Amino acid sequence: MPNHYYKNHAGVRKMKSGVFSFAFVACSFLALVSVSGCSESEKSIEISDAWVRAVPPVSTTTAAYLTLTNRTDTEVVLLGAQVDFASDVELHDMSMNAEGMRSMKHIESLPLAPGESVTLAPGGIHVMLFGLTDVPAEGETVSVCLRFAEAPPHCEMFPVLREAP
Amino acid sequence: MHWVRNGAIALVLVVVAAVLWLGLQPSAPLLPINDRLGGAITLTDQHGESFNTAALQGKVQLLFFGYTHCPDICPATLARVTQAWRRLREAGHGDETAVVFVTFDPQRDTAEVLKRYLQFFDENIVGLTGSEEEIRLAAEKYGVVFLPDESVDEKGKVKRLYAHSDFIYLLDRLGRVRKLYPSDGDIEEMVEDAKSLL
Ligand SMILES: [Cu+2]
Repeated sequence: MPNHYYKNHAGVRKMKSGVFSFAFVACSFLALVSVSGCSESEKSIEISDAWVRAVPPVSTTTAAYLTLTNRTDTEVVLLGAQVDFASDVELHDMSMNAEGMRSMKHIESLPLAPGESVTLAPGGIHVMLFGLTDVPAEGETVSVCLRFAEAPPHCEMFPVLREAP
Repeated sequence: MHWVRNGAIALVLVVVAAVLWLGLQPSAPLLPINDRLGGAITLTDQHGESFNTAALQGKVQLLFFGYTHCPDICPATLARVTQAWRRLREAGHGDETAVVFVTFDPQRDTAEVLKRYLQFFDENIVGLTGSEEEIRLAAEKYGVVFLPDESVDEKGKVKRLYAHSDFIYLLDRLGRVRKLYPSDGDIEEMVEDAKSLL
């Protein structure tokens, strides 16, 4: 388990403040247009900066990225995800060996302590989507359902982009 | 004796400052020639034709290795290099520059697959594939290492990924390696370096 990715406290704290302010703005905005959501989401798992990489139509794999924040009072463990356009989904991490060779490694789970935030981004941890049955096109949005150990699945619409938003 | 030591420290600081100052000069210093890596490679392009990269002599090239089943690094690298190339073309250097993508997964990356894959980024990218032996030789020239990494999932399906080095190579008009960038290399830097070789 590559703890260093999300147990880096300085990094995590920095990230947290960013997500909090984003959530604050989003919630104030939501409060203006609807009555639902915000008090609940304060105690939930929050997803931001989500996107799926747009790849050529001939591709068989792509990856999904996001920032995940645990706003609950208990540890949350991300196990993977489910999408309807790929036959297989795995959480992956990227590592580099002494010869400068980069490789991806399947990670079984990604635990987040209360208040913790982790960013899945190109070159690091990502949600690997194998066996694309339908290659999502740039500009579309696709549903990605994150699977957790205890919590129910959390589905969100991810935009399909060529580059990080 | 303190003044001797202080003097020595001051001297070291001056030298360090001078080196840093020189290193930070915007006027691109001559990029060193890397004579341990590089050389012309002969493979098959995405149109099914034999292609020797010596045909690109006269052009400054950005070259890198990858494979189309690569989900993360390769499309990101292709996107970056394509963007750098677009900048160069906008600056009027389209005819003097080229981008070359070499697959190390020829089993799956046939000319046809490469063609359709590269179209998504830029159809003018030269895509190269070949026999495993030809590709091994080409990779060796550039010090590229790649290892198939196969796993079998619960459903018995084989997933083949690669552990691989992922540098981007800047080649001058004579095809000599002048600089290596990491796969997430800075686009502006590539553009400026390429311009310095034109
Ligand atoms: Cu992966």
